[in-house]
Amino acid sequence: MQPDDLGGRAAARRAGLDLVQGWTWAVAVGAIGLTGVLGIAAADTFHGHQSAAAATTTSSDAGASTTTSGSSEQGGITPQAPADSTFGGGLQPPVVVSGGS
Amino acid sequence: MIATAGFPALGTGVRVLTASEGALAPAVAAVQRELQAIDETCSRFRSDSELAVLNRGSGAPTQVSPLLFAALEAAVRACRMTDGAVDPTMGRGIRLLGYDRDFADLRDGGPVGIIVQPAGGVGVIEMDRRTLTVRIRGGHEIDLGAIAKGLAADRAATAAHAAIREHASFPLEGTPGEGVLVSLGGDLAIAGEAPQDGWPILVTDDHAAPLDGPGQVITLRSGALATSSTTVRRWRQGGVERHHILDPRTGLPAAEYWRTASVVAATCVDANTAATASIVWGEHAISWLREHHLPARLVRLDGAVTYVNGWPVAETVAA
Repeated sequence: MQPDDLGGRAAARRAGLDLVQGWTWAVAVGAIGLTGVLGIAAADTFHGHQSAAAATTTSSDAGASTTTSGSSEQGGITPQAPADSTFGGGLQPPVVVSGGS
Repeated sequence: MIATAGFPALGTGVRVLTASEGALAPAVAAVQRELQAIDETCSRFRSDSELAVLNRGSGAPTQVSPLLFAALEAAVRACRMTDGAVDPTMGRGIRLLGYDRDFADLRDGGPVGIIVQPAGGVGVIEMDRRTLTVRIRGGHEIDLGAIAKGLAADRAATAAHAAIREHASFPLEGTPGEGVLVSLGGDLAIAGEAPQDGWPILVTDDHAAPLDGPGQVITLRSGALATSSTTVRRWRQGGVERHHILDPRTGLPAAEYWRTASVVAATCVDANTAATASIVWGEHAISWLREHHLPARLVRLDGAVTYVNGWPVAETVAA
């Protein structure tokens, strides 16, 4: 075999290996990217649930300890509105005063 | 025939009203028992109160009574409900501003230098319901102030109603004359069947105002009504005028947008929480009150009144 033939085959082999290596990197990067995209889509689509037990325990501001709030309304605490019939009718002399103290 | 009795407690004036004369005595006795318990438990001015012991605990875990635990839970809930506008960890802050004893005993002590401390937020309060153990971190102190008053009114009204029902004349729910209204310094809670047209109430700046004074007369059949105002409990510290409603973000008295906020809710704790938060929030209070369906009467410094969520407007204005 002539030296020129050997050099040409080696160059072709290197080119083939470079092509395979390039495709391997492209597939790996593409797979990682696709995994991330699918993860974000899944997280956005299916929201998680907080257990009842977890709802009574919240992180402190420092994140170093826990606080039992005593309420299971975590995240949605609202005041209790009065009944619709709270206000009465008619004008009468007042019997008590509501004011600052 | 509405019957009424009054006496001092919790550093303010108490009124007990019943829808009949025969219900008054058992109601007053029950209210006094409840207020005594609240005073011994939640007072910031009694060195022997449970709260004082907790505040002196230097952050050590402290076992407390079910009543103090319930009051702390109510305070934590109020803080979360208002995104921190009503914060129980302002005890040290208001003490540093000079409000460190019964209001009647406050004096201007001359010029002072103070370090203002913002609230710690509920994150500094650790509570274990199983063991009734509480720990306050970061050197903060608890002031249950408005929350304890609202809780006391709710509990006193409930206890009075139960005592009336135990009375031989009122064995059944809804028996005419078995209703009761308890007012703690102008914060009111109602239990049982109200008089036919409801309880007529003068709503104004100061709970100590005369019944024929300026304000608005409304009638309530149920629920609770609380009023917060910067026109009362004002004092001078080092020549600077203070009022008692602090903004937890700054540790200083809240900027005065509303001078008085009155709110109706199902409970006095919630009414008081909303009224206090309204003073702290200023104009933003309107949207929050609307969102939570709480009727309110908000009075600007110049006397202009804003009515929210079905609070009666025209025909009931007295003066």
